[in-house]
Amino acid sequence: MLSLSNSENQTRSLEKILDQVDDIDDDKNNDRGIIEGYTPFIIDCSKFSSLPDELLIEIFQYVGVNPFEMMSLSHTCRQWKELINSQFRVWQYVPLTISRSKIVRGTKDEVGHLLLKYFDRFSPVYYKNPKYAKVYKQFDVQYEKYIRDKVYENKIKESEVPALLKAFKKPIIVSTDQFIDFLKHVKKEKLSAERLRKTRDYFDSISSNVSKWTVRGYLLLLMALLINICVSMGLFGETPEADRSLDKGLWWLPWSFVPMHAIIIYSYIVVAGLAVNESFKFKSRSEIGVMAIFFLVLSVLTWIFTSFKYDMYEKAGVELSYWQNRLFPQVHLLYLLPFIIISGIGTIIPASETFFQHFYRTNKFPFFSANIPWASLDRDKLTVFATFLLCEFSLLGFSFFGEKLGSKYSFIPMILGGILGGIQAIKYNYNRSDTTSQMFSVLPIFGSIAVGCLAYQSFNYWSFIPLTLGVGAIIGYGLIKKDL
Amino acid sequence: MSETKQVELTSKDKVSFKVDRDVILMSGLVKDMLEEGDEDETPIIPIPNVDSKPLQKVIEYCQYHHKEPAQEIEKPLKGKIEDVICDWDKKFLEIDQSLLIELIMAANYLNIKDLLDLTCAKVASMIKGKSPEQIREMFGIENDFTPEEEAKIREENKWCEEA
Repeated sequence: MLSLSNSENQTRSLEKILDQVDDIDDDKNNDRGIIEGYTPFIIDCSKFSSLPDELLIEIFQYVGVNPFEMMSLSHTCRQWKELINSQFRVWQYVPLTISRSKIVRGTKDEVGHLLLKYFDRFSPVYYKNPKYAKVYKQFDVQYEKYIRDKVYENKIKESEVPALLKAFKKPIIVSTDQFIDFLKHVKKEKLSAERLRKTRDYFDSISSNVSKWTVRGYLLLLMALLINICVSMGLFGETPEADRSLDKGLWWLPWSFVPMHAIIIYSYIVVAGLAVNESFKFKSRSEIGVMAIFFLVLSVLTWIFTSFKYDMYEKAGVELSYWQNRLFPQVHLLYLLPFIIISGIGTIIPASETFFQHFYRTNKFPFFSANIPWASLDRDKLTVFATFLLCEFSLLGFSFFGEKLGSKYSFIPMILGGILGGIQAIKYNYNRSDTTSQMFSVLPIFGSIAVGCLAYQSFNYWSFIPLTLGVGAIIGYGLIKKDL
Repeated sequence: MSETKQVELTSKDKVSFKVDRDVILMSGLVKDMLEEGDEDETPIIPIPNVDSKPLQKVIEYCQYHHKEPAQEIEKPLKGKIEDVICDWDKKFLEIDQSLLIELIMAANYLNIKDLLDLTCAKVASMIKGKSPEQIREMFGIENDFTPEEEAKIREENKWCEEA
């Protein structure tokens, strides 16, 4: 009999009845007599409310075609609500179940897929939610008890128990509260998808305009950046408030250019957005994360260059405020960070391409061994590697030991690296018909001349002329040929 | 034919029914009792929890289905119950609500799984697609929610509609 596997509720209601009987026993003086006193035991079988919980669960199992139906059922009365929120078996056949083996092994996608079929294209994967871990645990216990009861009633053989426990279909949604949480989640997902769709549409609509002005557009951006830097420089030469009148020169000019900052940031957002849209199409929220990386880069760069700016101001004799000092530390390592990172990438990539395949694992310490055929290695890549390694060496050396070594000695490796890389670049591009790459190939040499001039503190307007002219020539040539 | 062993069932209101032993073996309860009891010619089994009216229906059901096992009704019930059961069962279920509930209790007490499934599915079919108000009205269930709980229910309904 099903009703034998008493649920807690039933036990409770039975206790209540027994209490009532006790009460009546106490009232023996009452004339109504014993016969009526025992009436609570005779349940009126024709009333719906007399159905025990076990049978209600049976009925609910037939009703539960979807969670919305269960939701509606739970609103009938308290008893039903409690049953639906506490008994896993009510949900056992609602088509949102998954076998236990799959939950253990299943990836997010698999479980999500089951829910997808049901609810559009959003997956909450609730079994991993710690909030419901306890609920699931409880259902496991309930199920095991249910199976044990069946064994006790001789409906199931003891030997079948492990298989049944293993095949247990675990409902993903197990209570109406959880289902409401799920609906809220779906709503949130829908809104987020809507936002993403709007972003995508926006970038799609402007991308056609941007592609027309690739070269000019980026030059414009560069120009804006330069003006921005000039404006920032101008801001530092602040005129005291008392002197701010129109006949006192152009002190207000930098202020009028302040919106440039906003334009620069807007341009950066557009360029970053277009890049992300181009490769990811804003399909999920992770694209927002990619955008966040862009902004992180922007803010780090801003921070670094602002620190550099304040360092220069200080050297020019301007007294910095407390917060300017605290927020923008004047440390060499910080200014050089972008260059250190670039050199680092330039070192790691050719090194891994050249050497990595020649490493193999061993069982002995240090667990890796190399058998590098030096003669047959790719010399071009090796040169690139050496160049960047020398640059990195200089940059880090100047950052940490700049005080002791001085700029003269710190930058020797970098200058050597520039010459080495320059020779390699010229050699590599010499026989190629591509004029742009030939022009690019002289840049490392010019760059090392510039660094040399800086390091030996013989900086004047001419030190950077080769580099500036070189870059200018490449841009000019690209503009003429329109193939930059 | 007279060789078939018979069993006498006595209902709560002291009405006796004579049934073939093979027929009533569908009931898990009676089966257990018969296995324990002595080999009387016509054992008398009291069924103190079941009235004569539902008991008669139960016997009717067993008489038909002990030869023709009922088809299993899939959980959850898709569509109406009438689509998944045989004609005889359809006719069998043309009863009023109180008898149906008594029948469920009887099937549960006598441990007749097929009948229990059939009757439960019938109730489910009555409930399905109905609003809580309609269900309460149909089965005479009292709305015992507090005003706060009512407010929560309204909020839940709002979420369901938006989904």
